[in-house]
Amino acid sequence: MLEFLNPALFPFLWLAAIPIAIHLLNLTRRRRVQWAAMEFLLESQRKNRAFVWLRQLLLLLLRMAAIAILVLIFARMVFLNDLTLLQGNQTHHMVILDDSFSMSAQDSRSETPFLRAQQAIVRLGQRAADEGGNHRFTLLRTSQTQPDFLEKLVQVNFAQELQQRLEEISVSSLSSGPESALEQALEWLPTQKQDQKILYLVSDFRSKDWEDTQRITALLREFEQEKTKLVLIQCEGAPPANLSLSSLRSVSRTLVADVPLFLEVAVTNFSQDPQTDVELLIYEDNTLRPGSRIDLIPPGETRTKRFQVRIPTAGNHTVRVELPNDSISLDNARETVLQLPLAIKTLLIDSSPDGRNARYVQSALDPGGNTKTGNTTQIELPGFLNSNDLSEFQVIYLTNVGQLDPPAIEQLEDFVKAGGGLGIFLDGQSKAEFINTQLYRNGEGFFPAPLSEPSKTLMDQLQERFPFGITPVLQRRWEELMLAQDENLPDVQRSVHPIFESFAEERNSLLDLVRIDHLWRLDPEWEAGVNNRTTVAAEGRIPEITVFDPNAENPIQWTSRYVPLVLDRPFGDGRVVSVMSSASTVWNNWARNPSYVLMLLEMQSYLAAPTEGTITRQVGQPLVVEWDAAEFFPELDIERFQEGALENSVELAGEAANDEGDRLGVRYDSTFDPGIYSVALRPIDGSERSLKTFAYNVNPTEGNLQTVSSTQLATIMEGITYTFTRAGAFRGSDADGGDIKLYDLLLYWLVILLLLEQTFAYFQSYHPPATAGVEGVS
Amino acid sequence: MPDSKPYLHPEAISRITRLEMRARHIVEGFLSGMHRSPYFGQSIEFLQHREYVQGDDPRHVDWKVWAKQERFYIKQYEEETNLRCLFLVDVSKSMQYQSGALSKYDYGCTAAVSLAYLLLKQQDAVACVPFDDRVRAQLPFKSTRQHLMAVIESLKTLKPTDKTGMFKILKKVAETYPRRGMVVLISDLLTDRDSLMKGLRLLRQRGHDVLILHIMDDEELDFPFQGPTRFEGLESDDLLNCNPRALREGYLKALEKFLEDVRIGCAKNVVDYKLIRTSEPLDAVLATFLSNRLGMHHRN
Repeated sequence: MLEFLNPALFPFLWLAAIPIAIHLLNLTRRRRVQWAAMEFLLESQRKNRAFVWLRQLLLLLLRMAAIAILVLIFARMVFLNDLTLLQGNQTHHMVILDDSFSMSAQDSRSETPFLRAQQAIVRLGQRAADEGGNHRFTLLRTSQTQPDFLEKLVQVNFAQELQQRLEEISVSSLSSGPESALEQALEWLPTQKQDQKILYLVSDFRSKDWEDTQRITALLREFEQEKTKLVLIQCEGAPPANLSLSSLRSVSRTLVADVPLFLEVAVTNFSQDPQTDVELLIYEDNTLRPGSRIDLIPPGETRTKRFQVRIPTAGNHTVRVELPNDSISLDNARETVLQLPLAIKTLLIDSSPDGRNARYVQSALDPGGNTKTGNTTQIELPGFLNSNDLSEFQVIYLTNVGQLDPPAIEQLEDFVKAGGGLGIFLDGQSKAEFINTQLYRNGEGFFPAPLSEPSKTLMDQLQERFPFGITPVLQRRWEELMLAQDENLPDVQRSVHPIFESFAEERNSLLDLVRIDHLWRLDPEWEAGVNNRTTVAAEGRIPEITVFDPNAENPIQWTSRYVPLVLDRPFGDGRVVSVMSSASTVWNNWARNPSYVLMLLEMQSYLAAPTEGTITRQVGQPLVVEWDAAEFFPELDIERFQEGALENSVELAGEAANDEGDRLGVRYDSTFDPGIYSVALRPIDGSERSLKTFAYNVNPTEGNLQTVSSTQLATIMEGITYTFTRAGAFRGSDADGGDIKLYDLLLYWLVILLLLEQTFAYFQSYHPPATAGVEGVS
Repeated sequence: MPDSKPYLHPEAISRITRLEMRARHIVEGFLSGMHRSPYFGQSIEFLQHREYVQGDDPRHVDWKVWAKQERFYIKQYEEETNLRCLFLVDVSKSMQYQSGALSKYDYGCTAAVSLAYLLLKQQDAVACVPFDDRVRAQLPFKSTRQHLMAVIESLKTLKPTDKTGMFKILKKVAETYPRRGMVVLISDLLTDRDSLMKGLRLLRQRGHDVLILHIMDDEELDFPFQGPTRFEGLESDDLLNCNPRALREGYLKALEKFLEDVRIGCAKNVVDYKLIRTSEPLDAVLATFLSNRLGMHHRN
């Protein structure tokens, strides 16, 4: 197979016809001679006709061939037939370019590792083009799934093309490591074992990308097994000094308009020196407000700073914090979205007509009077859930609910999926079978875990073991024995969870005084974990009698263990918190404890706030939106704002999100840049657009500029053959172009043809001799 | 008065004139009275008697013999008169070929006139017959100076038109001029070489001393043409489109063969032959030619 490295010149092959054109032109310009000695001329022509014709044809062909070869030389023809392939005559350059934003770290000369990477890659392309031969070039960025060049034939002007392409691209806002790009490149790796393959990993080799090296080294080994030469090119960058805004979040549980709330910003010092007087610029809805300052951030540590904001109006509001400029600008800003209602509207469902359980909750959330908690409550019977619109509520609590109708279950599921918060208190009315089959449904439903049975008190357990009846005297005696063995442990043991955050720094917490008599035990087979996305916010203590012998000197021995008491599980865009004991004092004494109010207010804030991911996301994370097809048009607008200015807008059409087709959904993957993403749905009834707002921020760990040293790399890459070089010292490929350099061969042929042509032409042309044409005449 | 300039080149003439003394030795009777002439003519010294035949001039009848024998006899004397030189000038179309200053015809005419001038100056008789395939004009032998003008005029008025018919012409010359003399053939000889040789043989048999001045153009001898060329025959309808570079070698070979044949033919018939390029200075050519002839006669 023939290919041309400079195909633009190939059409000039028609120049080979020039000798024919000259010949034809000369025929039209033929000279006429009235000739006397025709006899000799005719005799010569008669004798030489065939030979002359042959010589002239040969001369013509020689000239045509010479021009054709000249064109082919300039077109840089290469020969890629099967034989060539068998001989392994192609060189594949696979370049993986790290375009994570750490590559944008500027040094004192305002140069970045990315710039050095671009220069090194251009040098590589230039070298390959200069070497000639059959080189193939693949360029893939770590942030992309599609290559910039795939198996592109390196032609004469390839370096310019490569440079142009590289100038068009810039550092991404992502922090993607090399793994996915390596996996992708492995798929594209040519299968011809005879070919020469070189993988260039052009990166700043930040430590964070090489912490978990198992996957990377495994991939590199696979390349090595495929006879691929590995070249690691480290792009020198700024000294590892960078401040990064690592988080910005609300620390207030109640996010309501016109209620003061606290936000916390965290700044990490990714440098060797302490940073002092770090200024923080704070913008509320893109308006600069009085800033804040962090006095000292020791090297390698993170410091937080709380600041208060008070936003008078309800709706979606943004808060942005900025750091002073340093080597990386992308991690110097961080945004969050605050969804502030006028008040948190809460629905309390209680199956008892007097709503006794619900009133315990109500008294904590909405005590009335002058106490302003930002909550409004409404108590209803379970039937309310069947047909009423739940979207006006932010949080729903189920207390003392034994069973729900299917429409109510469906409504509740939709409510939570759409971002609502659901709190469930279980008690004696609760039915394990109903909850397991209807609400849990093997993890499909919103209930966090399957139930088994309620726990039992020590006395209940003794009564089961002593079926003949217990006299009051005996009971008293046993109680004394059991109390004597009391381990004095708290009944509620909290985990690190937002609901119990208020108790985090308390000693001798009021929470320790809470007594749990009964709680619903979970299915012993079930465990909280990543798979079911359920976390245990608190555990409750349950007693278990280990020894009971009435005739013994010490007839009762018991122990206690903790089982899940409060479970937390995200469901759709919402969240479900289930307390395995009652809201009232039936199964515990919590409602009589001041911690009950505190816990419920935290729980209310936690449930009312959208899940973390719905507010602050990381760039690259897909934006998934679902909506009711009957309520909104199928098209939605996604707009991205940067510092309040609209950057780009796109209209997307929703696709069916479920089998019934009554819900539509959109997955938007192009969230590669930080900013505020606003999703606007248009209601069918013509009312105002429904807006959902998301803040996308960069991965703060990418701001850690610590790089892997060549020694560390050698340890990591132990057993793998590779070449390590700095981008500044990299001069291009040292691989030999393994192809047949046909144009060199052509050059030799051209010289031979020109010599032949000259010789032929000499013998066929007239050269005035020193002597006359006919000897003896002078 | 006819214009003598076309064919009388002063340089050529003056150079030849300087050779006049030497030329006297070249041919017998180059100057009148130098040698005993082998020819019969009017003179003082009686040679023999011959019986009268009709047509003889009655003035030559020896009346004394008639009175004695009653028979008519003619008195014949040894002639001391001049050389009779006949110029045969080719006026065929091929002679008009010209690449330099002079065409072959012009060159040939100049050579003829120059020699005629020399001969007339020596009191020799000169005749001139321009021809192609027929005799185009016929000037009788005369030794007067004015005759040169007649020769010039006759050559000047003629234009090369037709083919060369060499044998026919030479045969006719042999018949018309039976008296032995010098015949100078000026031609490019582009004719059938057998008929040429046959004609020369005939002239020699009649006792003529034959000189050939073979005029060829430089281009005919060197064939320097390049590039596509269409050759059109001057004396024929032949056409040839060719690249002359390719045919040059073959052409020169064929020409060489022709010249060789002519040289050999001339040598066999004892014909003095000289190939002349039109680019060569005529005086030098004639001087060399006459010198060579002188040397040749000395050797004899």
